[in-house]
Amino acid sequence: MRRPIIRPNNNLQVDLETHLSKRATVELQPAMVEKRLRQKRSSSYVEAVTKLDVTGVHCHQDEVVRMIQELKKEFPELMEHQLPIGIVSKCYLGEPYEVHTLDTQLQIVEHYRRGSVLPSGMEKARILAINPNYEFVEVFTSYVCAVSTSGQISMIKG
Amino acid sequence: MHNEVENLSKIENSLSAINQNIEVVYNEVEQTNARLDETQDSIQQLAEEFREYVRQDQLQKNIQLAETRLVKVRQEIETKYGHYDDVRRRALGILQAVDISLVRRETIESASEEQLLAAPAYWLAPCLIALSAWINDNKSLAEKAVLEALRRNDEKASLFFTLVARRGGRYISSKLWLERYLSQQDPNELKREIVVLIDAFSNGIFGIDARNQCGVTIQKWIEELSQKAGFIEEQRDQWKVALSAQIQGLNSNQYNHLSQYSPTWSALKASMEGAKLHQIIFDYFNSIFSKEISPSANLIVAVDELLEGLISEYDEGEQPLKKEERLYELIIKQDGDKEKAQQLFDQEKLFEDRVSFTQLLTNFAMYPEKSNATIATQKLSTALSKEWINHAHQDLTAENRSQLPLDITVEIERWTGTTRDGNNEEELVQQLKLHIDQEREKALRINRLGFGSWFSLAAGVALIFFAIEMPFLFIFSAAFIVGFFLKKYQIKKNKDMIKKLHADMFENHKTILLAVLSDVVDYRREYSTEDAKSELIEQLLEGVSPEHYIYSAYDLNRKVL
Repeated sequence: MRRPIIRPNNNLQVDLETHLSKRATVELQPAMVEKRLRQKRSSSYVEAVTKLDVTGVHCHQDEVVRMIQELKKEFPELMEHQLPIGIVSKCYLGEPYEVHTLDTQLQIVEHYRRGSVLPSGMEKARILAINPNYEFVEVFTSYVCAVSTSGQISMIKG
Repeated sequence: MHNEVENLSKIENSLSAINQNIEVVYNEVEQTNARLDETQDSIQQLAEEFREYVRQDQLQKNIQLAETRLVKVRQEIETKYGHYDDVRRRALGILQAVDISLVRRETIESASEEQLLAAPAYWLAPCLIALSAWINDNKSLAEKAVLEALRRNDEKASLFFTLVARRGGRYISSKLWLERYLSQQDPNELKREIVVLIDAFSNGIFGIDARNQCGVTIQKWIEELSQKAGFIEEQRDQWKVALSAQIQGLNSNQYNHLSQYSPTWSALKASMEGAKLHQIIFDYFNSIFSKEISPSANLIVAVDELLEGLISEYDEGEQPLKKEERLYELIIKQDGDKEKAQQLFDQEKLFEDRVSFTQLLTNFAMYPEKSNATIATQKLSTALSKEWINHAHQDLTAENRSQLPLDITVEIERWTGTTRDGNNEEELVQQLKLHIDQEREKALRINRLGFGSWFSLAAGVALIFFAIEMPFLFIFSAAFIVGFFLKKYQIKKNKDMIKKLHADMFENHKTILLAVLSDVVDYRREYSTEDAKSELIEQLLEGVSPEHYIYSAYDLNRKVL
């Protein structure tokens, strides 16, 4: 093949990159969901969740939305309804607050006092959340995942 | 008008009298109720004691029955399969006789033929013929016998010849037989005799080629199984069951007061037992890895040990009886608790005809005696399963932590209080005092002058007026009035007694409460100490790697898995 006399402009760059969201389109089977949930959490995600508490009693809405984005980014394989109902962690605001929750559906962060019951089935995670061995606890419909500082998962069914 | 007022006053008096009567009846009903409650409690206690007695009796009978049946089953095994022992002994006898060349070839040949006749359908008998034909250099007979052995039990015969060829230093033959054996294996459904292969592998019996082949196969099996959806989870559950089976009952004497006065105790006890499991598991695995492997004097002895295992432990015909034997052993071990024994038996899966490779690893690591695994195999199996063990242990730990009661209820007679870590002593003492004060007030209210006493006083006073005309009535009047004051004195004495009793009760309850709170503090301290030991297992298993646990003293080449 002959070479073209006039060379095409090699410097011309076309940006074909599109910023698509990497959300799953096929729903994972329960066994696969469990397998995925057992995987170690990324350090950036663990850090993002632990930072939630330092913002004080009232959490800024932008912060909550950013956190939920972070959560979705952590589990790109899961469909919306397979994501955690909420995240429960120990509250460092001190007495009378014991734990705080991030409700992913209501998109709200709330602090709870000792004795007050956590909503949306998150109460079962309270005791693990206040355990110093775990950074926070993710509450799914069928599982509770306790996450350690290193991102390791301990899982309870039900 | 005057009459109407008088009538009204009469009605009012009557109503007041009725009211007082009702109060008296009410007090009596209350006292009867209290007595009834006491009686019901006693009956309940008696019923519980009776039920416990019946249960203990049943358990004792179960043990006796299991012991009798165990002897019977062992006798049956001996009667039905005892003659196999002869064939088994001869197999090793022939191999060892050839080593020292003390027996004539004809003797070996005739002995082998006799065994074939004595044990029809037994896979080992034609193997003996093949061996003797091999020794006598009779190729056609050897081939015929090998074919028959393979027809009877291809897998066992292949494994047998793998080991026999290795024993004779025929590396290529041994490798070929091993290939034949491995090609028949499905990692989802392995037979129990695979332990012989794993033992041979972990104890360094095979030559370099065969060892490489075996290592690659094991790795491939694990990978293949791991790809299966839900398989790893199943494995983890399997390990959870195996680890939980190590839980030991807690000695309640340590928390005497807490166990006696807290309805939360059963949950607390279970949590503490779960926390103490970390140390038990750590000790278990630590002891496995600290055990020295005592290698056999030489390769021939090592192979003979494996051959003995292969030919004596895994015959399917014996399986149902061996299953029964194990179940009776468990019933005796569980002090007659049939349900628990059955549950453990089902969990062990030691006698399943075909099990997955990973299930076998669990059996080798946790039940080495029953699965006939050597210490080298136990080490290798634990090392290969370390990730599952870690995850299962982490899940178990989280489950145990989630079951730990946050608030502990204290119940001393009718008083109930709550504590979390035993530090709210002052608040609880106040609550207790308030409760006992209320109880005292209630008792004092019941213990007061009733209608009869007041009637007696009224009658005494009224009789004074009548006594002016009939002086003998003074005696009755005096009797009524004295009766009233005696009753009043009695009531006062009772009240003093009630106050004293309640003061004593408060002191007594307070002492109990303080003892319970002290137990709570000790409990929380011990729990966190035991719970912190969960890290030990991860640390121990972190340094464990399968390649360190493949013994290779019989040759100088090490294989890295």
